[in-house]
Amino acid sequence: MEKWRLIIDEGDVYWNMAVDEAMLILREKNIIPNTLRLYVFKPSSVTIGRFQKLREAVNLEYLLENKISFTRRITGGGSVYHDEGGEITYSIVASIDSISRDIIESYRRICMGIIYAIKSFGLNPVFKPINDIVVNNKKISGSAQSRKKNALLQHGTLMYNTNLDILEKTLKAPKEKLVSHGVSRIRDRVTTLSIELGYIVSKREVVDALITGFSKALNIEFYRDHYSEEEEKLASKLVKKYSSREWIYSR
Amino acid sequence: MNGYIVGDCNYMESVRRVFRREKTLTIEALIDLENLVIKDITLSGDFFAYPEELFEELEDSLKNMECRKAIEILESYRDKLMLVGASIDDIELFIKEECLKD
Repeated sequence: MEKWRLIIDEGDVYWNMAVDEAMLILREKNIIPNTLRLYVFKPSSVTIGRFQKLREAVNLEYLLENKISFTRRITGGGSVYHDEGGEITYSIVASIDSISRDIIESYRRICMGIIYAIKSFGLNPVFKPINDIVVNNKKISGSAQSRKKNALLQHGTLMYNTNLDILEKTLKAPKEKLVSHGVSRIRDRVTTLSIELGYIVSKREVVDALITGFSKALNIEFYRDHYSEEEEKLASKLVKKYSSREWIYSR
Repeated sequence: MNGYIVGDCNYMESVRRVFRREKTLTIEALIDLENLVIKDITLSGDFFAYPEELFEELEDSLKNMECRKAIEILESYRDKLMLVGASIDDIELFIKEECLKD
């Protein structure tokens, strides 16, 4: 069975986005192996999609007043509230050929890892192409992918105990999007593992479930590892980009 | 499709239109037109573009272009840019409609 590297990490929003991009760049150059990274945003933060307008994607005044840090991702998609105590983010950096050349299929293959993880708690998740997973018709996980010629990065969330009151205060959803889901508030279209199960799920349980889920979905084994010196160096350099006004306020 | 004009004046006109291709993804086009020239254009939303850099290059290359030239530029990106939750057809149609309406 193929072996992939597994890294478990935590850091601020700039570090987390910088590491993901550094890994994609170095995987493209074949310098690092296929990797699953599981991480937490510490402190809780917000990321927005590459093509979103900042002021339309988040409640900027609330973020600034409450000193909640935020940045723009290299991936498309929508805005995300990353709760330090209630959400695990995954990123998979791999050669495209080890997943699928077909973009839609590659989303599906990787998202199967999260589906298996959620199923292990006894729930019935459904994959909503292209990038969402729902439980009882409410979003519990979203993913976004970026590609180079030979390598891809897919990162995404799994909410296990996210504070939905804060999520609702930080994010803005276009009215037409909420209408298309038949709801009037963001929090009416999202859920967490803890809400669905009726008890508080721990971070440890979710991490273990994700490792097992991705292993099954991608037919791989993991070995625990750390970042290489080169990755740390490149990520440290990219932190400047992700914390710059030029990047964050570019739209 | 959901489109409306958000403002106009004698010579310069700002037009905005929101497109939804997938159930959950949107792209919004905001164009400043002056005498059939696209003075500024912003294409934003929660869609995906592959590769991302090429999408930004396309957006930049449409600025200060006469409408007919802008359509040609859009066409030249059709085979090398993949959009999910958005479509070159939508952007092209929007430019055509706004440029031809007078």
